[in-house]
Amino acid sequence: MRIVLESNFMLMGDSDLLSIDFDLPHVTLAELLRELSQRSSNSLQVVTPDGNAIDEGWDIALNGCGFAGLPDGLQTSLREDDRVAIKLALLGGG
Amino acid sequence: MGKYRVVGKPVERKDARVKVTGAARYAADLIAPGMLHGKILRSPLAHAKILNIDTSRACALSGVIGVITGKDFPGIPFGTRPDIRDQIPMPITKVHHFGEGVAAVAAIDEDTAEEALGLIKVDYEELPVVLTAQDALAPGAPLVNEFKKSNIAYFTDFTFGDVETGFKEADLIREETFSSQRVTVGFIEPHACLAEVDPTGRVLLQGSKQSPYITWRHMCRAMGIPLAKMRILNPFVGGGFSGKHDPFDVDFAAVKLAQVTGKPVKIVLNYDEVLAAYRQRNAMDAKLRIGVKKNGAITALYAENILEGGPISGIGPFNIYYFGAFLNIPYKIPAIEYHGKLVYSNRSPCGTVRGQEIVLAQFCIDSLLHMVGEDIGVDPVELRAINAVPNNWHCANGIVVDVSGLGECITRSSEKIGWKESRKSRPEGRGIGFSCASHPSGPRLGGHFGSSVVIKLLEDGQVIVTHGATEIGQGANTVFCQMAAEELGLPFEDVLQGVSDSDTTIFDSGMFGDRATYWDGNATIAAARDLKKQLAEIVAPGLGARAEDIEFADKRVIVRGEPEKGMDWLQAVRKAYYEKGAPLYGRGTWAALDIDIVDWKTGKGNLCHGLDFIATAVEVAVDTETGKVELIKAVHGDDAGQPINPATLEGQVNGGSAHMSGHALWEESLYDEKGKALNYSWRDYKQPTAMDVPEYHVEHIHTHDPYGPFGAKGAGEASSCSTMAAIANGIYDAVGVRIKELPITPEKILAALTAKEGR
Repeated sequence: MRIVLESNFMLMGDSDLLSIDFDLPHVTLAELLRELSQRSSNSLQVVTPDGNAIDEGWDIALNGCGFAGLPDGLQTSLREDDRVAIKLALLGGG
Repeated sequence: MGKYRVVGKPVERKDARVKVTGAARYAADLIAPGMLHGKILRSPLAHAKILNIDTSRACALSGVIGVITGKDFPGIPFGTRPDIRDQIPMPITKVHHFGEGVAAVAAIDEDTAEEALGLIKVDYEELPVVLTAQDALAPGAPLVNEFKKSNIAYFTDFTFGDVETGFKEADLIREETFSSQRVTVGFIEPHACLAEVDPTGRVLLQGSKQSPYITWRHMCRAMGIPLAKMRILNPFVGGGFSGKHDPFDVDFAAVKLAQVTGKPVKIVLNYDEVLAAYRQRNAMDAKLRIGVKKNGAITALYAENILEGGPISGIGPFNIYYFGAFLNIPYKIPAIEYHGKLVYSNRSPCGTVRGQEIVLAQFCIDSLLHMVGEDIGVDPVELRAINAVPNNWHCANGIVVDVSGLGECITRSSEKIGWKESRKSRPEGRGIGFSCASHPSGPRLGGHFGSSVVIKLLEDGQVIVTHGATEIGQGANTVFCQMAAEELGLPFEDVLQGVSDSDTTIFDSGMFGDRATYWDGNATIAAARDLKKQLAEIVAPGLGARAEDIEFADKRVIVRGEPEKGMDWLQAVRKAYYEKGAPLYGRGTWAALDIDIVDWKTGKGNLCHGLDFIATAVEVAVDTETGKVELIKAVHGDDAGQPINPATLEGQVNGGSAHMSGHALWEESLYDEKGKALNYSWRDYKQPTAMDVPEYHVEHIHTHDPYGPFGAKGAGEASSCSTMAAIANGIYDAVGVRIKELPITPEKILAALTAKEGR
């Protein structure tokens, strides 16, 4: 299953990632974000350590729908060619 | 100008009298019952493993109430970008720079705390140091940051437009390298804070913070406490210049010691500590290549930039981003290629300093522009006028310039400095240099990026304006009060300024990047309109009118077109209070929703509104025997839209210029070969004083920004960006030597004169 990724930064830290393939029939949003965290060369912690929420500093959307609009939240099941947007917010100013 | 009563007037600052009389209370002045005094033990080494910290003798000292180390914190990393969290409150396994805090003590007085520091024994294993960008990038270089497997903290590659074609179309191509040194931020008040913990465990931190909401969120994360368990209250702040956004060891230590001891703890740094171990501006190594037509029009630009930033990334990725994004402005450049890197090192952590790294980018571009102008025989003023961005200009990276007064800025500054006359005759060693710059009125960073203001209506008819953007000395409180007074139809004296308090002030993303006047100014207007709407709904029935027909002017509430039907403001206020039982609050929020969130991958997008412009002309005198540079006169043609308070605006423009004249000529944070700071006192670190700055003139170029409050733009940072190249170009004009490595010291000038004249 292929998930299309959109971001406003280099997702993998040193490189970008435009899509990700899973050899699984079912993948949740939480599983996708966990996989990205493991692959990134940076400390990409998008989900809080308890696994229950999106961590601060992240804007997540699925097919244009913001995370707050997903009834199943992190347990939302993803489908082939879903577009997941992961955008970072800066906490600090120049 | 004539249409406003309060806006556009040089009214006295709200905080002027308490500051000049010494009555203003800063963090160091705060006292709490039972308060302890904290001190921080600092590393004598720039890079070393921490093998052991023995605090037993310090703990046993009479009068010592608490001692902490990095192990007392949960070890949760934090950072400006959520994907690069690479710092913790205090080090646990190794130190990363000279002066890094490794332990802290709370005692009954400062002397006891100081004595206790001497009793703490730290066993270090010294590690090789990384001090420069070249060190960091060398094969096999020691790794600086334990959260990263590389010394490249961040990198970016942007391409805007067709660069290859741009260079093909050029009649002249020139490439040069430039460098800039480490400099300190330079605020007058050292970091200080008072932390208290109430019986429920809730923390109150009163500190010298530039953007308390940024501090608040970082600290809660790193200390593992929810936001509701911490309150941050701002006392007066003695300058920030971007050096007080982050939480520092001083803040973390005070809070942890207060938690451990159960008593209030105050820590006040001395300035030696600040100069040795706190935020500085990145050192830069850059290479630029520019293509121009015979008439001076720029066809393409190529830039490489490496910033050395100390052991954490901090705001560094934004510095890299800004350098590249603002190559697009203030000149019309159809194609740009940019490669930026931020590298770790074992020098003090960098944040940014006034003007962000647009300051460095503009030093490079405007120095190079002067060089190619001479190559093709185009006058420096004409060259800048040819390339100046006009109104409605679409930059190669997508930034849209709504209103540009740059052309007029160039004309006015060159006339005022007497450029044409100076070409006919001038004393030996005298020269005039030009540079231009632009600075945005705050970017859209993502997340909660808006500004909010609350206006509270008091029973006596006065109002209190409270915002979260923070008054740090720049005059924000005064301009917000002017805006509120203008909108509400009240005298300036009837508008008071509230205090930033994370409990009661609406969230604001902070005080940085020239954003406050623009963003919080618009929020102030929205809050005033909200308050008027509420009051109008209360008084309208009694006036036999509809709420939407109620107007507010000259401290009266009247029916539009029927001025005889109305009442005094105070009467309306009392009607709300006494007849309706309705204390009123106006609430306003503003965010530029139509601009693009920062795209870190491409650098493309319409990043901001409210681009302010400046053209700076500096006259210098160079002593060819000593190499000493004297700044004679500086003229800033400044387009900040509608000036809200011309007096504070001039202070900002001249202040930014004075600040960067130090960077250009005198300042440098020096380190020895092992990374030990060398000149961390005001005796040895030379910032400009009133004796060093030139005669300043600000020519206000009035434009009207369509999105700005009353047509205003942000202000204060553009002059930081324009000053250094103007000085470098002025020195070249005076004695014919080009110094591309900052600071431009007498030694460099003499060496260049010697090389030029073969003497």
